[in-house]
Formats: sequence, C-alpha cells, structure tokens
Amino acid sequence: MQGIKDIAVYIPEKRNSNRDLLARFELEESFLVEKIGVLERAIKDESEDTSDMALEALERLIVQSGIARESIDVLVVITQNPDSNIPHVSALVQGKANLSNDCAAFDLSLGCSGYVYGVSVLQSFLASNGLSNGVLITCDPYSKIINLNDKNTVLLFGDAATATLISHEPKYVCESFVFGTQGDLTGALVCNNNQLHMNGREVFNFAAVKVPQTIQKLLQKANLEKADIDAYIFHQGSRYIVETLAKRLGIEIAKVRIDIESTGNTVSSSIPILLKQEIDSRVSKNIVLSGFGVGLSWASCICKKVGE
Amino acid sequence: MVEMKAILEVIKNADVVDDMNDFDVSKSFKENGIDSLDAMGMFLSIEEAFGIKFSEEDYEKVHTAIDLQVMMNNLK
Repeated sequence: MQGIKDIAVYIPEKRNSNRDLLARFELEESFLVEKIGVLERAIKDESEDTSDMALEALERLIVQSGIARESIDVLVVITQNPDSNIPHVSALVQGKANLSNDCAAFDLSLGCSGYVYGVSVLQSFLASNGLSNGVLITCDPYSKIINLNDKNTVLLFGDAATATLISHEPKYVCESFVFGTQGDLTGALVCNNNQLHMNGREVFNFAAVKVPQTIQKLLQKANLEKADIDAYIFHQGSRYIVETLAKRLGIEIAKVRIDIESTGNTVSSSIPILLKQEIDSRVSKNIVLSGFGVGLSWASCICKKVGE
Repeated sequence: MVEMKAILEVIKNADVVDDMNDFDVSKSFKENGIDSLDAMGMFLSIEEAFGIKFSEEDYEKVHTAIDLQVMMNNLK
C-alpha cells in the first residue's frame, strides 16, 4: 500500500500587505479580515521562477524525510504557470535536483483541484508500474499573472510550493476519489494576455453549489457519515467560501481548517499546506480533502490515517 | 407575481442582515450593511429559492430589494 508519507512546504518570505490596499479599493478592514481572510500575501522573489520554488520544496522534502534522491522514481509537478511553455517544469526540477535518469517526470495542468488529482494519479502510477517512491509538487505562483489593479484577484492569491512524498509505509492513504468538470464555465477563471481574470460570482456560485454535492457523493462512496470525519480541508479560496461551504454542508466549523491569513490563496498548494499540519500531528483519522477551481474543476477524496 | 415578503424571507434566512427590522427595501444592499460577498451569497439563495438564474447583466443592475422584486417579476 502506497500513500502519503511526508509533506514539505516552501512559502517565500516576502509578504505584500492587503491592509495597504484598503483605501485604494475603498474596502473596510472588517471585510478584509472576516470575508477575504487574507491580510498579507506570500510573494516570490522576482529572481525566482516556478522551477526554483518547486526545487526548494523538493529539497526540503529530501532533508525532512531522509529519502535518497536516487530512489525517487517519479516526479509530478502541478502547475499552470510554468517557467515557459516548453519544457515541463518537472524535467527542469529533475535536472536541478540531480535525480536519477530513471526518474519519470511529468506535469499536470490543473489549478485548485490539482493536489487531489495529483495524489490519485501518482498513487495509481506507482502501483501500476511497480514503482516505490513518487514526489508530487504543487507550485503555481499567481503573482506572475495578477493584475495589481484588479481588486477581484489581487487581494486573494499568494505564492507557495509543496512537495508530497508518496511511498510504502505511509502515514495517510487517500481513497474514494470523486472528480468532475464543468467546462461550460471555463470563462469564469482564465488567463488571457498573461493576466488572470475571474468572475467572482460565477466561481462562488459554482463552489457553493457543486462542492457540497460532491462531498455528499464522496461520503456515500466511502461509506462514511459526517460524524466519521475529523477534519475538512477545502481549497482555501477565501475565508468566505470556506465558511459558506461549512454552513451549506451543516458541519461543525471546528472541523473545518482555515489558514489563509498570512499567505493568501496558494492555488494547488493550499490543501497540502494544511494537510502537512494534520500529517505531522496524526490526530485526525479521516480527513476530507476537496479542491475546486480553474476548469471549472473539482476533486475530493478521503485521506485516512494508517495505523495508530 | 413575486411578493416582497417572500424576498425578505429569503434575505433573512441568508443571514446577511443583522436586524431585518432595520432593513429598508428602497436603500441599496450596501446601505443595508450587505457587503459584496454577502450579496453574492444572498443572490444565490434567491436563485435557489425561486428557481431562477440571474445573468451578469441583471446582477449589475440590481441595487435594492425593490430593484430585485421588479427584475424577478420581469423574469417570471
């Protein structure tokens, strides 16, 4: 059985304050704190590119987990903001990290649903090819595509990268995956001319309606009740959307993880950043992971603790 | 014909107004203390309760509960 053995996180040190933007966008501080939930955004250094951040997360994982770099069989990078269109970021990282030439490397083009998709793909890839160790990297620095004058997006997004080791003797295993796509809504979240555009109401309506449906479907598939779930990790789109999901699902807010205040919405990294805390503490037995966004796309699963 | 009473009931249940006794149907949602995110949640509740869908154009035009009632009756 292969599953999640460790997660490493890299969040750039630089922060841009949202409080500095309140007057410019005629917003109340209470709106920022209680609704957006992001007080400062993590922003990568101008000299850093996607592969540099991904490499930093991988190097931290190697140190933290003690895995030998030559024993990494597969490297997957989730990103939609690569260094360039060609080559894929995973190949750049494989080269910079001096991983084995026998290491498979490929990228997956997904946004906020990417982590859950990536875990499923990597667990399956390892199992079907008889491989032992895979690393899943999330790294989608939206600071590369944010229009600083667009209040719909500039207050939300932050930069981060994570690296997840999927291997034998895991601490947690992900299962009962459910996926979906609503391609007729692609226009709600797009990047044109290297600038992000978001129809906030369309994305909100999609998440508020679709995610609760998909969580019900997930619980049915896993044969679990809400009471069996110890923690919910939703993609951290904003404080408002996470709290809306909790309300519409009728779940205790104490079970819903929120940590967006000093980083921002870090796209596909938001779930593994929170999941790392759960994996390190090993208190929660059953965790719901649910990512949703660009596509519009969604993916959810149960992340189950292995052993005691 | 959509009655104002039914609209106000949905707004109340959407939990976006502190005290519905102070809610003024002729004032803008913003003046009634409903911020832009709560307005999105409130409009979704209206859509679900009445089985309608607001276009982006409709959404931009509606600022008060009276505007909302007029638009909903034009949609019906």
